[in-house]
Amino acid sequence: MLKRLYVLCLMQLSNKMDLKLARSKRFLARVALRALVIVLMTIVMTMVLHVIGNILYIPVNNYFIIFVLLITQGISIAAATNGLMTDLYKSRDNQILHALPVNNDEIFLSKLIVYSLNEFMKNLYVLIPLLFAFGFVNQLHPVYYVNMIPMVIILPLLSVGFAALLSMPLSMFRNFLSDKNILTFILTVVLIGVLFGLTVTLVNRIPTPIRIVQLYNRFIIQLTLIMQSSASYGLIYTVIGHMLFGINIVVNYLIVLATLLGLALTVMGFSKPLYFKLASQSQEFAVKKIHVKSNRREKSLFMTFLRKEWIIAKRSVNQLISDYALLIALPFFMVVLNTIYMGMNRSTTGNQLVIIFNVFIVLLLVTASNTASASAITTEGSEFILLKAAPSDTRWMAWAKIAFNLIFSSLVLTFSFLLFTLVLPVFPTVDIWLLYGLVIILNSAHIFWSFQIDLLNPRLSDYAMTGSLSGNPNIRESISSGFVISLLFGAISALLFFTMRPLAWPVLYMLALIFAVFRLYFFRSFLRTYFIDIEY
Amino acid sequence: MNKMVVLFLAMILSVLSIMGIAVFGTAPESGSREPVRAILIDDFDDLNSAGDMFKDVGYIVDLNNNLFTFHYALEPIKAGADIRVSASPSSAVNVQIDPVEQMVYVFFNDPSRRPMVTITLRDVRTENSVALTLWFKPSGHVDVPDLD
Amino acid sequence: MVNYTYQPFSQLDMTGDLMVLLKIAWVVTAVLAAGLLVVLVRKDKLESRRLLKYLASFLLLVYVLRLYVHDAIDDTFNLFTIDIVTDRDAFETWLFPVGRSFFLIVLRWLSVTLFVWLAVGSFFKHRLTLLLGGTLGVLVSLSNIVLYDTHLVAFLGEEVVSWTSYRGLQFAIESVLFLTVSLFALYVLLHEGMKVFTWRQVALGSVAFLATMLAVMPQALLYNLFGNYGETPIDFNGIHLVIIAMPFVFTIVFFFIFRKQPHAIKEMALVVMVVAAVLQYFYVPRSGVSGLPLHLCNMAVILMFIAFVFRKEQFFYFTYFANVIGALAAILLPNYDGDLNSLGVMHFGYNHFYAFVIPILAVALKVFPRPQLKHMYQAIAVFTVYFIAVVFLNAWFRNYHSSVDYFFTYSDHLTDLFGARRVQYDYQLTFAWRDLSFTFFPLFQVIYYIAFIFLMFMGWYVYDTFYVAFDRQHALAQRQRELRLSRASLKQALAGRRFDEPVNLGGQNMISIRNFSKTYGRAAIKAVDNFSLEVKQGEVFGFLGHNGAGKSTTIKCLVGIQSITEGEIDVCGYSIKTQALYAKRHMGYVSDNHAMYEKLTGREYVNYVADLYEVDEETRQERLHYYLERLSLKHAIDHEIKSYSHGMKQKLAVIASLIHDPRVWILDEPLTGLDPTSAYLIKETMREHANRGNIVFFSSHVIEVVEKICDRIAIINRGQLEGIYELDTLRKDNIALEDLYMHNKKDLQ
Repeated sequence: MLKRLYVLCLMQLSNKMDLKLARSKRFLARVALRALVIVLMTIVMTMVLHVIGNILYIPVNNYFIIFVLLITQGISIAAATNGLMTDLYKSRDNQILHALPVNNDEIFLSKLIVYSLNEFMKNLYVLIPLLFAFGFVNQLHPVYYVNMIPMVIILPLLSVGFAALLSMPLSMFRNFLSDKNILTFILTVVLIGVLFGLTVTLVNRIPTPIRIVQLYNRFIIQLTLIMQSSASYGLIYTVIGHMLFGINIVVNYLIVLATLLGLALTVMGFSKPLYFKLASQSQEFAVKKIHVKSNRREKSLFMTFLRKEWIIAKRSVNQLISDYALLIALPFFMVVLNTIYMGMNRSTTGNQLVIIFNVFIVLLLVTASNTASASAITTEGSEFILLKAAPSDTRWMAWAKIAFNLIFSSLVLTFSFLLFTLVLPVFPTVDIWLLYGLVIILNSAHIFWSFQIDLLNPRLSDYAMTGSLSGNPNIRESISSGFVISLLFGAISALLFFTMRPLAWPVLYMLALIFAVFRLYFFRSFLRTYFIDIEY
Repeated sequence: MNKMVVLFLAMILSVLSIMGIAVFGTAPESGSREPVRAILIDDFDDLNSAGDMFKDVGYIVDLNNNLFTFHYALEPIKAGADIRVSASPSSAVNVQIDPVEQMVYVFFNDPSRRPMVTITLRDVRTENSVALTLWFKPSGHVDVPDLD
Repeated sequence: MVNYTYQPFSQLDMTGDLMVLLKIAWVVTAVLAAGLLVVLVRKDKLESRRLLKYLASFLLLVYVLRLYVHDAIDDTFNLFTIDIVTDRDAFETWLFPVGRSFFLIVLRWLSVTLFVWLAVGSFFKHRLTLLLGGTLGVLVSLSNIVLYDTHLVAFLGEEVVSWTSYRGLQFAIESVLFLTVSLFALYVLLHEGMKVFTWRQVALGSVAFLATMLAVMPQALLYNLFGNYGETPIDFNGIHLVIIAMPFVFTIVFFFIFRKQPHAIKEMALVVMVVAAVLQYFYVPRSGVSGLPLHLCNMAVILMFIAFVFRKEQFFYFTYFANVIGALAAILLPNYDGDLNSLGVMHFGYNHFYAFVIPILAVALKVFPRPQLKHMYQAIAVFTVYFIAVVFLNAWFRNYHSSVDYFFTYSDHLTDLFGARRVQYDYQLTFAWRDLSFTFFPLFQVIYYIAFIFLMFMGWYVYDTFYVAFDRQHALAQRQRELRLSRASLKQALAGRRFDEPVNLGGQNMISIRNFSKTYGRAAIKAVDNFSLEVKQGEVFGFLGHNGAGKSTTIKCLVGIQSITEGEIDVCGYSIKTQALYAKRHMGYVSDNHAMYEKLTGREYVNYVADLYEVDEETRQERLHYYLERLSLKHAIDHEIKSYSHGMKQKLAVIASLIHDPRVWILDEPLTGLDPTSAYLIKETMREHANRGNIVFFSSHVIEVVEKICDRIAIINRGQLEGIYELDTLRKDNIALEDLYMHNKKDLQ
């Protein structure tokens, strides 16, 4: 069994990293380089801890290390859970591995080992420097460093263990949701709503008028108190923290080892009946989704394309959410920021700054959400053939996609701004809606621009082959152009609001309109000229 | 540039914007409030011969709890104050002040050493100050020490 | 209001016979000198153009020297008797009666314009410049000589002047030279062959001359004409906004006027501006070390002159990357200290205007080639040296002159502007060496440097954006022209028929491929080479070839997915090149990669396709029903395509491609990877479709399939047609298709 496990691990590892290197000279060079990075990181961490202790004035004691452990390991568990949910159950190599003459437990275990190794490598650059730095800053006893070594091995095992345990119910839940689009959508909306409510409540707890210095003091005190109290809920990590500090070493060591063992047994116990089931279920996409409809002819080509967009969007909620993630984050940003702005005792300059920053930040987030337009043609992939072979003016697909993007983002924007007026009645309503109009105009312009970027350089075959948009240069370009627009209009609004306040909005609108018309005109020309030139 | 970068940028900008408005865009505080006449601390249990205030924290602070808090008050109550806090010796504790709630938080770095620490509150505007010495009173009858 | 006394000069001491004689003598001298030059040229002793270049340049130099050397340069244009600080109408303060003063101003203005015009014109073979320059030059120089004494009085502001004085002689030499050069210029024009100019050309030339007048306008002119205007440009007030807008508007207007002109004209116009920029620099009196041209934009003016006159690209790109930004910053954040007409504001405006406008226009009009990133790095390197030098020189020269502040690296002008004086004054270093002291502001100077470098990178980004935009615009226009041309040629080919009628009337029932070639991108090898084929109605036509032979390429071009490099393809008489939409209406296409929207159901997909092919509801209902039954896909038609197997997808593609009952049905590898039942059903459908009088055209590399259902086949190998065979004939001749195919391959090997 051990031999099979070894082979399995090696197989997966060789897929992920270049093992041949291990015997070459470059390997040594690489190890040296990594060691250097660790040393550098230690120096940086020491400086950071020094700043935290002596300038930010947050006590760097054992509570601090427990807190940091909790946070870093929490993040690591979350990341590992997410990673394992793909790696264990949905990974492409599953089909190969499950076909091998090994049993499922071995596959499961080998995957966990490989993952732990990866985690360990990641920890090398963060956890070890941090622990070292902590020792230096507090001038701790050498025993601390001796205790550190087993911990560096145990911590990744713990987080992977927890993650493996968590990944099972979560995968089940995901599989359950996979064919229930509406439920997913509702759950997402509810989740966002709850988060939003939570944010608003939290932000409203900030006492007004906000004085940043006092607020900072209180923030530091609260943070320190949270750190102190976190130790009581830190479970195994509190034990590890105490142990590092040399408190009840033997007992604490035993507790840690027992936990690890218990965790391993639980994971194995649960995985035995569940793993294969989950892995194979995730692999099956024969979940038949049936939508009965009649044959209908749309009134126009535009409607044909719009309808297609709508159906596809409706059936890929996840894609929709990830496309518009930043737009969904917009209300959070707006409400949190503006509550703080409004909480401060602003002068006239302050009020102008508020509008200027709003223009900038809102535009930044909104324009970064037009990636769907910047990949509109690319995501047609090989289906673009259909449009090329069709005897109709398929350029209408561009307008349909744009309309869809426009409608969707405008809806989210409207909703955001409505929420904004409701949550923050102190903010001048006129300014809110003027900002809204401006953002809508500029966003439309940016949508045209983004689409044009994709139109001029579609990556149809790349997408058809990989089915993925990661690293798509058009999306990058679209986001960059959005950044430029935000920067430009932020700067213009600063200029206008400081030099000619009464004319600021009209001039901004005029410029935005000119820009939008300009973009629309060019988009139209490019579409008319180049659409027929796109080849798959 | 990708969405994560934009999100990160937006966060940085948000922080910068708050700082910007705090620095360049806030109306000056009304300076009409009365100056501090005195800072008061009630939470002490001994005075030494020189009249210094002492507080035994031995029954509050131990290995499991390194925090001691106390309240202070201003006279007049709504005085315009800018209170700073300091500790001596400063290496023994980490001391912080919440001017809104008028609370002082003293975090002992190593309670097992049972240090004696003097906490001083000082109003920057009027230079009024008050001090409270925290100590771990040994059991039995002990005289309150004089400070150097 | 300050009282002032005003005493117009009416009596001049220099009237008299001697003066008249002198003036006549000067004119004669000039004419003789010109005559001598002509004689020398005639005898081939001298080359006329080169001589003119030297003379005209020398004339300009004499003028510039007069500006620079003399102690009161602004007196050159100042006709006031007293100071001009107080608000008042200008002409009240003139030395002479209004008419004469005005004439004098115009003469001086014309003179300087003509100096530039003649100097620049002599370097370019543009005859109109010389004609206008020469003619006007003669008139103006003669007037200058006639009004010599009045000029002199105005220069010195004294009633009694003598022609033997330093300035008297200087002006006399200048005027005589001016007349000589003008006369000689006219001769050169005649010598090189006079041609007749149209009125339009003369009008344009005059406009250009007026523009030159504005370009070299003396900075004291507005003061002389209008007095002090009153309003001082304050940051972003109306006047300042106009000043900001001017360079941008000018750049755009200038670009559009000149973009289609010949290269020489563009270059000449820019050189005129460069010379004007130098003049504008010299119009201001300079004294001491603070007057050295070490300010970034002052230096720009000199650098640009060198760059343009001696074609030094390095100099040019430095101005392009560093000065433009410096000038823009100066225009946006000025340090004005007077009203609009004051010399300070005029000079500031002209200087930065030129430093901003000229480099941009030079690249936009392609007088200098578009720079690459490496040019910017070079510019940064030069800027670094410049910056260090300036920081040091400021520290050094401050010992001698308290107003030394090159590039604002010493004074608190900038820190003051941003309300950050402390950044400058809290961190300063002072060294002493002998009796000199050197002060540096490390933090401020480093921040300034970094900020400027950052601006240079931003500048590069802006430039690059513009380049890309321009290129794109250019490509767009080009492509639009191509499309118009192709439409025009279609119109011609149709010879009066409607656009929806087939261009090839003879081929209405067939596919016709004539001399078709396809090359991908810039590949050296043709994917398909000189391929011709005809397929007639009722045929099942097989297209045979190994992988990569060019089957898919041909099919993709046939259905209009890819462009045709050479040759013609007609489907039912419609050219796929020019009448693609009409041709496609008659085609159905099944691709080799089952491109389908997986989130749609089969029915939604078919409806989507039917919409694209404009099939009405009833017909699509009927056909869908028929084919679903025929291909037995009815059970899955309302499932998402995601869940379909390979065969089901292929069947769906078949249905979708037949939903408009095409006359030509094209299939790319339709039977690959299908189970026997599905393959059979699809083959049946193909046969049936052909039997109804349609064309079925499909590609395959499976010989058995082709053998079984085709009427004719074509074999393609490495992009070339191997042969077209009738299967019946092959059967009769007892030739197995497999042998034929393999034989062909072996031949090739």
